[in-house]
Amino acid sequence: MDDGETRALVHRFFDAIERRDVDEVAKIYAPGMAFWFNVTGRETTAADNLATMSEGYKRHRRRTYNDRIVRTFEGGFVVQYTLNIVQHDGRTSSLWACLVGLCRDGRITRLDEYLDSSKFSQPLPAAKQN
Amino acid sequence: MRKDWATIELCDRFFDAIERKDYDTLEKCYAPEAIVWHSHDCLYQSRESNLAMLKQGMTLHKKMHFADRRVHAFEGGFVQQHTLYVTRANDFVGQMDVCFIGYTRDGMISRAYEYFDIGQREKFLGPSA
Repeated sequence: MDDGETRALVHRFFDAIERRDVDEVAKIYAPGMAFWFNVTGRETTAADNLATMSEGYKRHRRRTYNDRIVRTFEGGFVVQYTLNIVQHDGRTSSLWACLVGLCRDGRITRLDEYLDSSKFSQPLPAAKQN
Repeated sequence: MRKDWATIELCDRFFDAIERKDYDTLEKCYAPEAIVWHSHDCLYQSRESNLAMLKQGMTLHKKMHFADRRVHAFEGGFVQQHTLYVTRANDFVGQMDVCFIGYTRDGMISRAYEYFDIGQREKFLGPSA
């Protein structure tokens, strides 16, 4: 994948998450895709990640992934972004995050996400902390 | 895409210098205009302030070790993921998973972004934190 293809994949991925198009996100994940999250230190499967994503949509009115700074390298990318959240009661908050992704043949094979949990407006569900 | 070995070597040299407490080599890795952003306060730290902080760490901590380094070079910089282990004066070994993004110019780090979870401060600073 060249730089343009990788960038297009990154934006397609984030745009799908914003649209709550879990089916599209699933198409972007390669078979055996692994997702690692710094807050839990755990690695999960694509199925677990998609389930968490779907469940997470209930927690907020809206989430947008803004200020995307994408850098590509052979076999992947790193993206710095601002996650802007609108709660159900209208309150807003932001998180500054980065995501390192590996990809092959137009699909994502691995994601490592870094967030600061001290800035979460709500704690992670207990099931996700273990 | 070609692999930029010079950039990866800069990344290695930077973190190796911190581990070896080699302040002079560390200082030379930063461009004159370097600034460093940290996710815990979302503020830009000046070159001087960051170097002073790292120099203080070299004095205070028995050991700093950047383990499990995974580096990728991109046009204009690099990203390194690692687990930082710090052996503190009281022998507590703190650990933190970090993502460090360095933008380079003329073979030096010009701007850096460091992402980590300060929500896990006790794991990093110790039980009294």
